[in-house]
Amino acid sequence: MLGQAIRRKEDERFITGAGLYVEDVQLPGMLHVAFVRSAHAHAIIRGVATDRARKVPGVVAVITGDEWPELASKLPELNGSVTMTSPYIDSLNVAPHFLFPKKVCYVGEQIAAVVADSAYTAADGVEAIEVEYEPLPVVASWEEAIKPGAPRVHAGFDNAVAHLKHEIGDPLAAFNDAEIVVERTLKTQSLKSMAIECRAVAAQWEQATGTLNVWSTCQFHYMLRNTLAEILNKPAESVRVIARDIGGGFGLKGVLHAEDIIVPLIAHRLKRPLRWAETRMEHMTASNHSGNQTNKVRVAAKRDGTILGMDLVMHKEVGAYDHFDMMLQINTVNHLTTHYKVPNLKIEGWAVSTNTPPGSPYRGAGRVEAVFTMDRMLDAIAREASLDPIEVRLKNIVTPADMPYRNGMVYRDGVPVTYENIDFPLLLETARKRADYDGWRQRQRELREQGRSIGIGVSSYVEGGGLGPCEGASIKVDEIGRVTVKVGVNSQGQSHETTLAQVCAATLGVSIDDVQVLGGDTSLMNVGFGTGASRVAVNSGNAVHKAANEVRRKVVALASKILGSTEDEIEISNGVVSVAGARQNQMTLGELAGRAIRDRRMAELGGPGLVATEFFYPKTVTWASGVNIAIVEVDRDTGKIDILKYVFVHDCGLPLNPLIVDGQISGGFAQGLGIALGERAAYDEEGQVRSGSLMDYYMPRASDIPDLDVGHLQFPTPDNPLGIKSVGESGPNSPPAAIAAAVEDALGGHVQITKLPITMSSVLEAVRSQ
Amino acid sequence: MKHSISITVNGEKRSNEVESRLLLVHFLRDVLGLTGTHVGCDTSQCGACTVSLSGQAVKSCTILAVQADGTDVVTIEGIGADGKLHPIQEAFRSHHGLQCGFCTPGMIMAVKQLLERYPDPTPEEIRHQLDGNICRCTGYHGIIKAIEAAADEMGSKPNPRHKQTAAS
Repeated sequence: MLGQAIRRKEDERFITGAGLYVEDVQLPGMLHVAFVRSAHAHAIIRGVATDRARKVPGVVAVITGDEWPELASKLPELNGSVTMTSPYIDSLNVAPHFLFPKKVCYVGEQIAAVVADSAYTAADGVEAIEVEYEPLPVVASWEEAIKPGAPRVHAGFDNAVAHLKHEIGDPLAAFNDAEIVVERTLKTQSLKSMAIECRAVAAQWEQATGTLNVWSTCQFHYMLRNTLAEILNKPAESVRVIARDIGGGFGLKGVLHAEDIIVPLIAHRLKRPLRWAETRMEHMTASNHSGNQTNKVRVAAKRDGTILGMDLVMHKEVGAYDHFDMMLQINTVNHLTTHYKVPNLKIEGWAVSTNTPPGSPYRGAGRVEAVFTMDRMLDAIAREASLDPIEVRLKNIVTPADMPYRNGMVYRDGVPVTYENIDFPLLLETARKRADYDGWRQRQRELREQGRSIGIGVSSYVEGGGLGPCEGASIKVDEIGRVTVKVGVNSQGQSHETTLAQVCAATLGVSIDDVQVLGGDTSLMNVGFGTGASRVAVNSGNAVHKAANEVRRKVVALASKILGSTEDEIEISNGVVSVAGARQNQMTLGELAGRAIRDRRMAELGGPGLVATEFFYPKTVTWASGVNIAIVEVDRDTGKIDILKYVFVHDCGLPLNPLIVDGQISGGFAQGLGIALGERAAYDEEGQVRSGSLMDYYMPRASDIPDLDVGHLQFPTPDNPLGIKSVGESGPNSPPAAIAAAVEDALGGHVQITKLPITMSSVLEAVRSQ
Repeated sequence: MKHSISITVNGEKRSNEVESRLLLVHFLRDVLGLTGTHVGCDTSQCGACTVSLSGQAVKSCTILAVQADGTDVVTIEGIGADGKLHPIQEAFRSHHGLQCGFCTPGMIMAVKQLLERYPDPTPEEIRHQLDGNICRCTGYHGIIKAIEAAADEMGSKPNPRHKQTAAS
């Protein structure tokens, strides 16, 4: 059962159109909400004229934030997701983020809400509202924002809102001893997660039970529940957040946005069900983005390619409000050295506010920036020392003999990063063979004679995933043998209803057809965290395993008493409990569950019923890893990049379901390809959005995707009972670095590719500069 | 101003009064309650709203309900027959052609037309024909496998070019 490629249990409702996404929630008397949004990136709101809007047929209410005291609330300062400690941060000073600000700080920021009888009339109402602005000077890039005397995004707060530093060994001595010093300024672009479902929220005050029901696209539904309960001064149980069918997340939906809170607060006051569904244009304008990052890097090395030390200075744009302290840059630091030894290291970073939407993680969450930095620098050493890029990598690679290996980093949970039971050289060698690296080097030379520009790029990543603190699972067997598994996480497409059912079925000894997994609803479990940081398989998977083992323990104990055997003789298979070797002496799990409700012997087994709730607390994150090799051809006349071959070798420990692991790798790869070749959230110097629709923001289509040659290696982790690691954020990390290296190589190494995305025009520019 | 329209939707004649500006997708979703057809963008790039309109795959966010007056519309809710899944739906499930499922209904409706036009499609034809439908989750590999499998299932014989490993 575990490790089998079984098809997904959740698919039936999705392929028949029976999924229930937030925008599909239709309740009697439901009203619709639309938002008035700022046209300016920085302005004081002098007035909001609502009279005309109130007269629009169908408009029920116009909300400007002064109506009720709770509308003066703020969003939680720091995203209460899974950042637990910030080992490198030495200063953090972020401005408050109000639901209805008196001063807007980015284009698209919400100013007022219109409630109407349809989404169309709500939009009419928005059109009829006039806002009087007093524009203020704008800083739309981190470079402008840190200049002396630059306008401040928030009065009384520095634009540089946070700072971190970390040092390993003696970097100064490393540079003094260097035979080679290479230096690059590497720029990675701001991105949107770009789930096909935009954000949405529906809310209903249920008078009969005194419950505020909220349907949300949020990845962290307990965070939304707790925030609403706190604002309304109600117990958490009075707010129920349902976030079951969500059309993709990838990080952007992992943070609270103002609308997530405003819409339920209005529904609570008006006592009418409400729904707001973001339009794509709103999404492009007002939803969070990942933020531009610039890494200025110097590396000291020996002429044989051995790295002596590295010096990294990072600047990251965090937008108008920073709800993640420096989480993304901390991820960059902790994933920076990937498979390689950097004995001496100095890192300093700043988080910088700008008049753009707030910053959010996007799948990879700082790891793409780490990998792009490490691999581009390894390639820079190879060029400077006239060595093959793989030779440089082998010179510095961490080997199994070095393990357990500590690279000197400290993860966000405060635990030192440790690699154990991973064979990095085998990953590299496997990728090299699958890609026919040596053969392509030969063909590259031959084809160059014919005027064709072939390039080869190599990239390695690690993925720290499965961050705690914990997740739980609650399992119940009913009287007819059906097994229900409740979890505190939700799904944006990750297949939990299948993989967690596999864990339960395998552990308990029942058919997967009898197991139903329920998640994405705060009424199921008291405590849950949510889906992000590639954490569900490790946390919830092992929680299900623990809970199923506990149910199994009860089954064995009670069945042995009823069937008159020893506990060792009890077997459970396909929902039947039997005594080993005794054909007649058996009962179904359902019959036993029925008996367990009333049987007094259950007093010593934790109470009535075959039920158990268990939590799994990981020691720290698990380390998945991989190597990508890209072989590309560059058309020097058009700048077009053709991917001739792409090899993706990875390890994620024991796969729960290889079909789903393949899907995660393929999907993550496609997102990495988008990062490499075209995606970019762009703002002009006035903070106006230049990527305002899917016509302007490139996302890979089927015709852009090359075949993928995936190689699976398995290095199980000793850190959890299932031996599993994360996989969700493996896909996007390496394609940008591998493709950048391949393009640079195709152009004969005479230009440097230091900036993402690598667009056709940037390639042409590079060709012409040769 | 309201208009009387009459559209056959999934085999059933539906007559309603609608505003001029009402988009077909909102007629299907909000008036008829057929929420399987989704909206993913405002500019007809994503294809999540694809339905069949008198035999032609169209993006239902790009036409008005009044323009569909007198036509025959099939949505994801109506693609199967006699309580059975359509072979395309079955193939998407067997080959992990979906993750979050949001683009899936539009994708399946687009594939229906693809296979009508190209009963034995090459990988290039599949990729090209999917240009109007964006999937953010799968990286398309599972979708392409599903389409090849559906083509084999709906055609008379499997194409040896297609190497399938379906889930159990």
